[in-house]
Amino acid sequence: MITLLFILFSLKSFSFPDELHAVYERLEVHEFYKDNELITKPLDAWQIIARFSLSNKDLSLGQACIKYRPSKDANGLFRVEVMSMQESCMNEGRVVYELGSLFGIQFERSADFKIIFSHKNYTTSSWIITVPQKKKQLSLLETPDKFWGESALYLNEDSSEEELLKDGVKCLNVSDDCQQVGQSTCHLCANISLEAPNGCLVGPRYCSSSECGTKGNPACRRGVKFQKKRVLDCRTETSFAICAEDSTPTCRGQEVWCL
Amino acid sequence: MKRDLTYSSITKIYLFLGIVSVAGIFLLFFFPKDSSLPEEGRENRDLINQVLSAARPTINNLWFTPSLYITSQDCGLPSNVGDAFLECRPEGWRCLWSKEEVVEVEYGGKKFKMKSTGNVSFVRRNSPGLHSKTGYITEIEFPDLAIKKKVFLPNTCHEVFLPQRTYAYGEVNDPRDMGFIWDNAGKNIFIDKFYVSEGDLREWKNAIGEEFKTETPWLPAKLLENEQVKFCQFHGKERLMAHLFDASQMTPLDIKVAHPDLVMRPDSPWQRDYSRTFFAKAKDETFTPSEEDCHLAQVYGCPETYFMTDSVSWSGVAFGLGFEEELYFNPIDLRLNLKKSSKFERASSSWHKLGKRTSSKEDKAYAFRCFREVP
Repeated sequence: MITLLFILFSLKSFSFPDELHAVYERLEVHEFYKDNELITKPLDAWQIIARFSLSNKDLSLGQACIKYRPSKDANGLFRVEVMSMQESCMNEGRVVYELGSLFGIQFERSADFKIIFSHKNYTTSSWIITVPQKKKQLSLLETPDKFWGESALYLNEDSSEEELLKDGVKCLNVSDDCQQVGQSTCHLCANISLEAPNGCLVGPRYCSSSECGTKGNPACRRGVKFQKKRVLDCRTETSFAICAEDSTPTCRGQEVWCL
Repeated sequence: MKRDLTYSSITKIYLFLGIVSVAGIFLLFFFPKDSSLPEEGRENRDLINQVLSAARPTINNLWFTPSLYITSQDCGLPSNVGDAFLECRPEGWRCLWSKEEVVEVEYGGKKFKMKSTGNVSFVRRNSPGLHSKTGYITEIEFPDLAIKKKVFLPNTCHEVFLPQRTYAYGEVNDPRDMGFIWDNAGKNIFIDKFYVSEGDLREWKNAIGEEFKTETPWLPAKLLENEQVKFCQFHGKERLMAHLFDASQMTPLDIKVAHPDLVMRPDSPWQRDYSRTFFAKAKDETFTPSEEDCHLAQVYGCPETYFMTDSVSWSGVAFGLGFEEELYFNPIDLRLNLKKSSKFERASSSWHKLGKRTSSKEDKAYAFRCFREVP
C-alpha cells in the first residue's frame, strides 16, 4: 500500500516554474553533451546544463541556471536556480524548481530549448523553454523595414541595484586595425554612446551625454565609403569626420575628437 | 532477561512502521517545503507555459498594430488624428481593452480568454538589462488558468532604419556640384518616423518629477534646444541631425547601388523636380492646395493632421516638407538648424525644398524628433 501511494504521488504533473516565462535570451548551453544525449554521467557532480537571462520588472536582467546532478540508481536531481547576472551558476542561487528520482535528462538546442526528463518509474516528461524570437541580424536586412528592439516580454518581480556605465567609459573597443576587442557594453551606458571615428567601418565608442562633433567630444563620422579610399588615417587627414565650427578635429591615437 | 518476540509483537511493530511511513508520505506531499508546486485553483503549469508562449504574438499584434482592432475614431480621437497614433502607445492599449473585453488565444485546439485592465505605466531602465531604455509595463490575465503576468511593451515601433548608403546633405547652388556627400556604412541608425508628441513629453516630464498635462497628446511637442537634447537622451537617443533627415527624405536614384558615384538631391520626397510639384503650380495666385497636396506637405491653408502616413518618404520617415518648423542638430553648419518649410509658409514659398534650412530663433521652442544609433 505504501508503495502504491508513493507511485501515485510520483505521477503529479511536473510543474514549469513561473520564472522561466520571463526568459529573455539563451546565454549558454553545456558544450560537452550532444543534442538528445541521455545525461547519466558524471555521477554526483552538478552540471550546468544551460543558462538563460530573465527579464525583470525594472527592465534589468536576472539569470536562470539549469542544473543536473546525475546519480546512480536513478536518483538524478534536476534544479532551476535564479540569481543575479553578476553571479556565477557555480554558486547556489534561489531554487525555484527541483525534481529528483531521475534516471537521466536530455536536451535539444532548438530555437526553443527542450528538456526531456526520464523518471525512475520509466515515464518521461518534457519542458519547452521558449526564447522570444530575436530580430534577424541587422546586417541581413538592408531595407527600411528593419526593426530594432524587443517585442513584448513577460517580466519577473526581481530587480537590480547595479549601476550603469558613466560618461567617458569606453564601451566598445576597436583596435587600430579595425578589429573589435571584446563585447560591446554600450547598451549599459547611463545615457547614450558616441563613436570616435577612427577610419574603421565600426569605430570605438564611449558612453556620453553630449552630442558628437561638439567641443570636447568625439567627432561625428562623415563616412568611410563615400570617398572610396582604402585607408583613412587620422594622422594624415580627417576628412572622414565632422567637427562643428567652434572646434578642431584632433587625433587621439587614431580617433578623431573635436577639441 | 531475554525478551521473547511473539507474533503479535512483530505485527504491532510492522503496523507502527507502516503508520509512520504513510504519515511521512502525507507530510512530504501535502505539506511541501517552498517549491514550485501548483497552488490551489491553478491549472497545470505546463499548460500555462504553452499558452503564455502562444499569447506572445497576439500581444505583439495588439500593441504594434491596434488598428487591426480599433481606429482612432473608436477611441474618441479627432478625425484628423491618424491610426498610427495608437501604435505602441498607452492610449491605444487602453482604448483597445475598453472595446474588447477579452481577446482569445488559441493553443492546442482550444481557445483561452486573455484580459487586461488596459492600464499601462511608463518605465525607464536605470540598471543594465534589456536593450530598450524605456517602454511600458502592463498586466495581462488568463482567468481560466488563474494566471496574471506583467508584460513589458516596447516603444520603438515608430523608429525606421536608415539603410547604409552614401547620401547627400543640404543644397547646392549649381546642380553639377556634388556638394557635401557622406555615408553611414557600418552604422545602424533608426530615425523617429513622427515628431515627438505631447504625450511623449508628458511621460518624460512626469518621470523626471515635473508636471505636464495635455488634453492633446497627439500634437507635436515643442521644446527649447537644450530640453530636446535631454528628452532624446532620456530615451537612449540623440537629437536628429540635419544630414540624417536629408538622407531619409532624398530618394536614391538607384536603390540597388548603395555607394554610387553620383548622388542626387531631389527637391521633394515624392518628386525629383520642383517644377513638377504642386509648389511650382502655387506660383499662380489663384492656386489652392488640394487634399492630396496637403497630404504630401501640409502648407498654409491646409487642414492640420497628425500621425497620418501619407507624407512618408522612401525610408518611411514622415513630414519631409510642410507640417511643423522642425529643429535639428547640424554639426556640419550649426547655423542651419531649422527647417522653415511648414504650415506657416504658403505653397509658393521657396522654403519648400529638401535640404533648405535657416537659423532658429534663440529661446524659441520648436518641434523635433530623435534618432537612435544601435552599436
